[in-house]
Amino acid sequence: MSIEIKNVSYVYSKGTPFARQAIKGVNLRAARGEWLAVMGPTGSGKSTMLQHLNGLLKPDSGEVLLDDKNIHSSAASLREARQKVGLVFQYPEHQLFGATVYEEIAYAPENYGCSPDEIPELVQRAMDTVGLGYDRYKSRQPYELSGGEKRRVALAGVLAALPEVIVLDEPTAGLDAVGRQLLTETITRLNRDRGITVIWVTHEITEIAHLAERLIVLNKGEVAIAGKTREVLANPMMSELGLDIPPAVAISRELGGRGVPVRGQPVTLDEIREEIIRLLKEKQ
Amino acid sequence: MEGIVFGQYVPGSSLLHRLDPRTKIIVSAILLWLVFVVETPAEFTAYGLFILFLYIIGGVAGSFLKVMKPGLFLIIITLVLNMFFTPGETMFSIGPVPVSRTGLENGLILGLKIVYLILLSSLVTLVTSPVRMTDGLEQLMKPFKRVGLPASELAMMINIALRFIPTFWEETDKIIKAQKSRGADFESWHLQKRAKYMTALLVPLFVSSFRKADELAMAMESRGYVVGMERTSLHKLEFRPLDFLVLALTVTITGAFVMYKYF
Ligand SMILES: Nc1ncnc2c1ncn2[C@@H]1O[C@H](COP(=O)(O)OP(=O)(O)O)[C@@H](O)[C@H]1O
Ligand SMILES: [Mg+2]
Repeated sequence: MSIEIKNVSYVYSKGTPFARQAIKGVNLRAARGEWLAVMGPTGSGKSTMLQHLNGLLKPDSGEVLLDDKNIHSSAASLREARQKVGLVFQYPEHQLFGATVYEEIAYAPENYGCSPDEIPELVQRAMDTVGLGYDRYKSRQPYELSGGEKRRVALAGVLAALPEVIVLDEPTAGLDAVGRQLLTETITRLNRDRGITVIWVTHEITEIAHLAERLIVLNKGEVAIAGKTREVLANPMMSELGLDIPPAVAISRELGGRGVPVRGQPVTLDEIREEIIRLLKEKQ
Repeated sequence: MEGIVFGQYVPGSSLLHRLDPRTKIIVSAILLWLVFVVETPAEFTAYGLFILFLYIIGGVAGSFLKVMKPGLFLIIITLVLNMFFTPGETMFSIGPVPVSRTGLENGLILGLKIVYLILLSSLVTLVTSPVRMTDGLEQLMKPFKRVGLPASELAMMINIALRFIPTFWEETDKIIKAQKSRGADFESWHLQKRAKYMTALLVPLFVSSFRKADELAMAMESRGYVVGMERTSLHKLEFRPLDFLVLALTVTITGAFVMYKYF
């Protein structure tokens, strides 16, 4: 499914002394199967923008389109948006409440009215996707699991509703290296094999710079830079906004500044290594 | 969940903001007591206008109606209860039910009193930062330390409770949004479903409250908080001429009013 935000603005606590414009005139579009990364300093409106994607917040102006249809046009289309756009909040493990992992993951399909005989299979598939063995984990209590496992349960809880767009708010925050790797692999598989559209908010772009086709940078509630990930990362504004860039991009910039032009806008260490080897050979 | 939480502090620099919190606590205690003294319609009107006047000089006139909203509900309830269940001279009837004049009057008076109480007590929290409020409470409770009242601990508890109200609302909002994203419908009229949605809200909310309490205790201990220790405070409270003036005025005017009324 394609998803689009058109010229959306939102003010929190309208009409009180606490009113605060969180985003203004934001545009964003992700085609079916596309992977979009979103960055921005803290408080730049990333989470607010995400909450518009499945209709949790209703824009003050502008519209949100799912497959070119306004999600606020009817109660049914809002419901469809809720189900088709799976939103994974920051620290999603904080929302766990089920007595067992099974109950937790079955929650969304139950709410969306799936028939009771479908549900076990949906749960099992979701657990497989995130790498939790069905027989081993289904009867365990979510609260006794490790942090990484809890987060995978929470992710499975969203995936079980079979979303076609998955939106993640800083999904790797607080995970160890293994957990991060596992999560990135899971999402990569969903994106490649099932054509699921991914919108991923991050502070650590290095993890997904080679995966996301496009990158959108928010600042003070507005889109500051948008474009192909590699081009946006090469933009000097990134450092001005205090955003981290991948080491490979920093090295390329440094080399460029010393009169060694780097080709191909590398973003991973492998890419920059190949490029340096090539440059060295060229020199000889 | 968005918007003003009932009686939330609104930062500002009005006359009321600048008063010492102890002055505000004492004066509001007197004003709250006065609510039970006013009787006649003229007195009620004057007092209501006076409260509105206080909201205006506090720069929080915008909150006046918002604070009153839950009060209106109470007025209606007390009015209805009193109208029908107080015996007395019948003024008119709604269907077969007679409405007595005293009932109507009592209901109106009681309802107004409740609204005045809400308005006055909210005003104090609207114009006093929680930290200064607890400092004030602690100072006022100090004399009772001798008889074993743990003044600083009580003040600290109140401070923490106040400090965590917004955090608690934020957390509630976040969890509601997360569960809505999984198809929960908190407005459902289906009772059994609704119970299940409440579980999905309350369980994570409890867990997070305990986690936050734990973290806070740890943070306080690691910064050297010990129960029962003597502490000094960063911002010393200080009575200024303005405070004395306000206190003196309140006492004189209230005194004069009571004298006039009863003697
Ligand atoms: N529930 C809320 N109520 C009021 N203001 C909020 C709320 N959530 C966020 N904000 C404000 O909106 C702005 C954008 O916040 P957010 O979207 O969370 O940014 P980010 O996710 O990029 O850190 C911030 O200034 C924040 O204080
Ligand atoms: Mg955020």
